[in-house]
Amino acid sequence: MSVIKKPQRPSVPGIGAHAGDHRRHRGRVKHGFSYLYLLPMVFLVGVFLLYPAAETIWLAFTNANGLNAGRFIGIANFTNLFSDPVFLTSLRNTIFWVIGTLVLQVACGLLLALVLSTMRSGDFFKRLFYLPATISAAATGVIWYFVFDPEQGVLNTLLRVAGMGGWAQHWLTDPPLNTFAMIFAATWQTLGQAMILFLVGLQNIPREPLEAAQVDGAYGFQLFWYVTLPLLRPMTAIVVAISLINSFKVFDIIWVMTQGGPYRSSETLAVTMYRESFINFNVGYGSSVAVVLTVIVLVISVFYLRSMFRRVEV
Amino acid sequence: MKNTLSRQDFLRMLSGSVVGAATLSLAAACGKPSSSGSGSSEKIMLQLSNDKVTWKKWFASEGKAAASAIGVGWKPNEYSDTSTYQAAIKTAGNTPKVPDLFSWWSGWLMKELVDAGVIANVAEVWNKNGSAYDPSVRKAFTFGGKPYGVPLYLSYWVTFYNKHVFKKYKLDVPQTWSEFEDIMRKLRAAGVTPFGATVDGRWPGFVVFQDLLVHSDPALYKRLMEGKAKYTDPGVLEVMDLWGRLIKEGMYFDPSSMTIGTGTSNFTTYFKQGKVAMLQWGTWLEPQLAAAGIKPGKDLGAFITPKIKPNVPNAVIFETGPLCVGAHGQHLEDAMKAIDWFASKEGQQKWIEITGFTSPRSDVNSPSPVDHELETTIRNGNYELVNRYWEATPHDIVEVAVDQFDKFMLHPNNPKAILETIQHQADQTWSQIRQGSTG
Repeated sequence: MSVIKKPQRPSVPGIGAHAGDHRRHRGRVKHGFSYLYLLPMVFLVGVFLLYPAAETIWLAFTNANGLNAGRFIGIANFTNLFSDPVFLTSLRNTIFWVIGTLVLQVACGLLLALVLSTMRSGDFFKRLFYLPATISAAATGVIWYFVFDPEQGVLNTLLRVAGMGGWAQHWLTDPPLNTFAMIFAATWQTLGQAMILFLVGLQNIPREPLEAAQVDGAYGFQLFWYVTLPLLRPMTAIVVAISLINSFKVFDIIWVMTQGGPYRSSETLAVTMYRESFINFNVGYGSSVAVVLTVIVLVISVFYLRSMFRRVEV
Repeated sequence: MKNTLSRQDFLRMLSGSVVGAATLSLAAACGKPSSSGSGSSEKIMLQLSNDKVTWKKWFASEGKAAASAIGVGWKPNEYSDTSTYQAAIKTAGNTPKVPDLFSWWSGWLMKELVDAGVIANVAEVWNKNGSAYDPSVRKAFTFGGKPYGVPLYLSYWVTFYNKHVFKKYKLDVPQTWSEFEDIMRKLRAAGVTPFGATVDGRWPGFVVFQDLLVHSDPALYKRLMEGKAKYTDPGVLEVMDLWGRLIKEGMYFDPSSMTIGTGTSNFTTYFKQGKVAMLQWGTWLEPQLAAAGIKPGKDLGAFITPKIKPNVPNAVIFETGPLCVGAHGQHLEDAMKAIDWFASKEGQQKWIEITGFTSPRSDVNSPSPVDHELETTIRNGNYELVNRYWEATPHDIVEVAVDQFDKFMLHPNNPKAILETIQHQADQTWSQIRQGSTG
């Protein structure tokens, strides 16, 4: 085995020292030049993310209406938010989405992964359950819009045919049922993604601790709860983080299915932000919703990821 | 010769492409109107922006006709999403990038663009053509005594009825409100839902409210629109009670199960099948119904909703949207020529031929026998034209009101709470307008 020696620094000043300075200078120039390659991306991020973000924060403190820049009104938009029943409904629905997504997508995704990883015909079902993840949220919304149609929708028709007409509902017009119906539709689409991530996590679990636990007499739920689940924690952290962020920013499926209606009963923060900014043109007020949403997502994401990865490192 | 692409080469090519694309975009942005033909017969084609995707061919045909007639025409530039369109016009409004011509909405939505100096004054066009138009139409586009647009279309909000259903149950067009309620009851007893109704798309919530209020007390409607009456006034509550009773008696189709045009549970399908006998809507629905094989005059008739209180004056709701000229547009003079031709008898004759719409000009006949009959009724009955709710009152109030009316259509139990919520918004909006901070 060859040993690579580190080049020695010259111990005395002289020609070698000049050569070293020159190399360092060239290195710095080369290093500095390489930053130029970052410029296009820095430019794009700056123009399309950082500048709009800074502008949105500023607008949140103004009464801008899309036609003029508005004037500074302090924190009036933020104080108005918390006395606005629409915002409070929107906040409540966002919480429903977060809880619903975590419970359904993460728990069901994990359950499916556990079941399919041990099944002989698991590959077929993996493909089947992943299939909805390949279509867009907008297309999912259209499909489920027709399923939930109260008059001619598949769901109510099936219920009536099965003699359970009393269970037929106005799935998309009765709050908060409409939010739960859309969470179900979103879960149908994203479940496959969570399942695949958990399957990858399960495949990467080392066999030794599982075998050791089995030797020690652990099996079934005990084995899962005390050994498999802790070993899956890095993947669980990722799935939960993705689900959390997606549920906070959910927009497209709601827009396609109900547009946040009827009477703004199924809006989430992202939909309220859009409606206020681009339909009602209360740009300042809409920006304040955007700021609140961003702060909530940032705080939860940072705290959640920190706590998860701290535990993983331990 | 190297046949592999290094990372540096790739990045160099990428940055070159970005710079190239940006340069081309900038060059393209410095727009000129397109022109067709050559030499002295060269025609100027302006840009007409709009959010009416289904009208694309109509705009293009009318633009070509204008080019043939006066040498200045237009090409449509349509946006499929109304919100995006509104944002685009508002953003570009005070810059030279504002479209030469664009469609908009009358009333308060127009006023904010006028206040911001986005729309050009078209008084000259009205001076030439104004006598052929109803003064109410001009008023819808007039702010501070100056007109800022010409009518792109005119619709009356009336009650359409399925002639075959009426014939089957031996029903005649009602002359009084009690006759109208009698028709509703007979249809209901026969298992036909009298009216179609929908909350699809939010905005239709105001339709029945405006219809009942205008035919109950047009003066109260106008005062309400101008902030001189309150939603909590007894006259308004009376109308809501009437509406609530009709909903509870099953006179309206389930509004959560019906759409205007999408899916299979839509107005056209149910109206054609005779599941609903009547639709209270704007006459602009006629082309959609005609496209589904419902022929105006043969299968379809229309009447103005009878007065609920017999002693109030005749009134009919109208809707009109303006064609505007961008005040900061690069081709202002040509745009003025184009809009002048559009408002002329020749321009309107062509437009009505192309679209099949009701004509806003008294000297241009509407092609539909239904519209023709309505125009005769309006003229002979001295009906006052009252602007539609969507345009007649400030939009901050409209946005809250349509949601509240949708809520009422689905849960017609507490009209007072609905009206109080709308009035709360109305108080805020009118107070801001009076202080001069909005509107």
